[in-house]
Amino acid sequence: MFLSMFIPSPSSPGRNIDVCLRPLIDELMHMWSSGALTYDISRKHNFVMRAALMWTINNFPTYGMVSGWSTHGKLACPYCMENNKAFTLTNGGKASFFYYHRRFLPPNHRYRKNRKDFFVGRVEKDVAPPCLSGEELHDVVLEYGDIVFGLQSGKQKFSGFGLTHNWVKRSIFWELPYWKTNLLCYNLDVMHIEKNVFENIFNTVIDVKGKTKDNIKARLDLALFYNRKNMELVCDGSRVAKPRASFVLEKNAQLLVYKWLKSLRFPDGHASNISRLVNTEECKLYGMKSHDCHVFMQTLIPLAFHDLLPKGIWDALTEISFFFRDICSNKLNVDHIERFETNIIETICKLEMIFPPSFFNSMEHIPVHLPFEVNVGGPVQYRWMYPFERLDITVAM
Amino acid sequence: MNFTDGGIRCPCRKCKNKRFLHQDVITMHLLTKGFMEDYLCWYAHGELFVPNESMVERVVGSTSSASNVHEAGNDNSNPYRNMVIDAMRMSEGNVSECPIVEEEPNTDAARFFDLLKDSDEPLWDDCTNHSKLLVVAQVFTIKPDHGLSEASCDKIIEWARSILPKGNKLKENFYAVKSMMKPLGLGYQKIDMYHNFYMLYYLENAKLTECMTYGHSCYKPRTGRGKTLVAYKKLRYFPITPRLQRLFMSPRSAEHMTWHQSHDAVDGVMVHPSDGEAWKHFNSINPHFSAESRNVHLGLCTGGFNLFGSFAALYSCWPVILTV
Repeated sequence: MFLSMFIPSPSSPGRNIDVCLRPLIDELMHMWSSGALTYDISRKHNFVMRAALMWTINNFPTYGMVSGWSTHGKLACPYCMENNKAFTLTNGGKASFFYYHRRFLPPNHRYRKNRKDFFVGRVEKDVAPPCLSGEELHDVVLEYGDIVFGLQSGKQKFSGFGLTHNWVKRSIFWELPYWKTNLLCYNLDVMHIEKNVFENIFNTVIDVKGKTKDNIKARLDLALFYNRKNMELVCDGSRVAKPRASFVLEKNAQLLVYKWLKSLRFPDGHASNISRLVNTEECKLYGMKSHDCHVFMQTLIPLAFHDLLPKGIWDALTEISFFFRDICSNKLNVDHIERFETNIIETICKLEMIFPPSFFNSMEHIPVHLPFEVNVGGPVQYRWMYPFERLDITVAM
Repeated sequence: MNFTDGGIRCPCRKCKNKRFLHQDVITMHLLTKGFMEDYLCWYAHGELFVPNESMVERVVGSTSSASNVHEAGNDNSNPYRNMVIDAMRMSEGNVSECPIVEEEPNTDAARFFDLLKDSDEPLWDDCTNHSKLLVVAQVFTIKPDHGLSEASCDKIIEWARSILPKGNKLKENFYAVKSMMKPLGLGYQKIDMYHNFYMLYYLENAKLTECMTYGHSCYKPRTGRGKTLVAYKKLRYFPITPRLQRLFMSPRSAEHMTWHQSHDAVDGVMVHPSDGEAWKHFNSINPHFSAESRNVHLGLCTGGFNLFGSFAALYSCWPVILTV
């Protein structure tokens, strides 16, 4: 692992990152087509070494900059692309992927006919959107012309952007002759996805002020889509009351969780000292790092909420915790991966029955595509950002 | 034109296998400019690189001497000397077998030889446990570890020199230490750019001073009487080829480079991306690439990070990291 380029900037390069990557791509092209004569000390002779770029590893916003498919807005998911059925919430104002996941289920699954717990009165008959191969993507990308790079040209957009597609550029990586034949070009970073999913779940269940997804606007939206009378806002004269949702812990239960966290001890090197991050008086967690979220997600969620949440909700949260544990294991059995895929879809459908629509931002949708990436690319340990984030610290020093 | 359009690399004296051209053009080039020197094995035109006998002799001769030194180095458990030997092997490869190197390998090689000599040279006559380079490398480690200033480092070196017996070969100040270590490094390029990310002043554009469309100067306006031009932004590019070559220079990492092929894969169990479908698919459609297990599969990672703690969100840097 070595540093190959250092882009200085007060601001992020955005889609103009292609301009900066030019020298690297030129050298990669050269290394692919002709290679470099290298002396191999272990075998004591010379050979022509060639190199190929397998894939890129990025967090979600950078994914958009590198791949050219913007990861913002309603068409954020780079796998579902324009077949996405995400919509903007009337009151929340954000894109929501809620009521979208039932189409990934098998055709005669019982959830598909459930009119009560999902979107009001809707039976899901659609099938899952197709996943485009590299060649097909290449053809699509070629239709869009070149753009002028530079921050001034930031407003230049292809027609139909955000409506029929989310392309912002033809990525420089398509210039590599082997790029379109790759099965997996851009990796979704499991580290950031896991962290974001954990934060959303934890903040909503514990009802952290300002961070919970179950706010007033969420309850207003809820009334439009769900038939859940016990969760809708109650107007009492001039006051509006928000009844406690079943997935939110009561005040004394929250205190129990924090006290339990305060007393936690981990084996050496397993995690940072989480008890140090807990403030029991203010009921807050301070300075959770990505790895703490990782440990919390995989081992602590089932323990922390056991007996405190209703059975169905605890089941769904435990399932998603187990899903991340399975997918992050360093030895993967190929036969099991198919099971992960069916399980995660069912789990997300269960979450849809529990949480309000505003909970389902793009990060809660993305886990649907993770088993595919694991199947194609291998264990996530080689494709996530932990080692790179650690290297960043040394670079910064 | 590139090689997917049916072009071939032009082996003429001027192009030196760098450009893809049509056959007729290449014929013209070869007739007018002549054939490039030292292109005996046509590795850019499909011939596999097999060292001929004289080369093998030279390689064996040079490496056996190097490996002797290397073993001796292991005995003394002197990691710095091994580092020099590793670096030196590359230069040997450049001198004797590598015809595509553009720099002057001879001066490089001379520098590496100097370094090796320095490494073997005891700090003073009859000194058994310290070589010149070992001390120099330790100075290099201690300085950043404890945040010493250059002046304080100079003072310590001066003081150490006064303690050591006369005729010792310790460098006189930190600057001399630095210039001694520099040839070991792999170097990087600085590429100017304007802060709007419009273009790089790179290759054919390197001599431009103004942006082609907008007419921005890539240099900051001069203040005062200073004569040096300062670019708005400098992109640091660390060329990957020498770094990948360096991986094969060290015996330990060179073995690891083929681990993906040599490890025992169990059917149906994935422990490494090489067991995954993407890797296998890539190898099956590029048989030329997969035939040589030492060819490198790379991954690329980018992400912004804030230099000055999480509060200085105004300034972020974007490292691009490659992983093998």
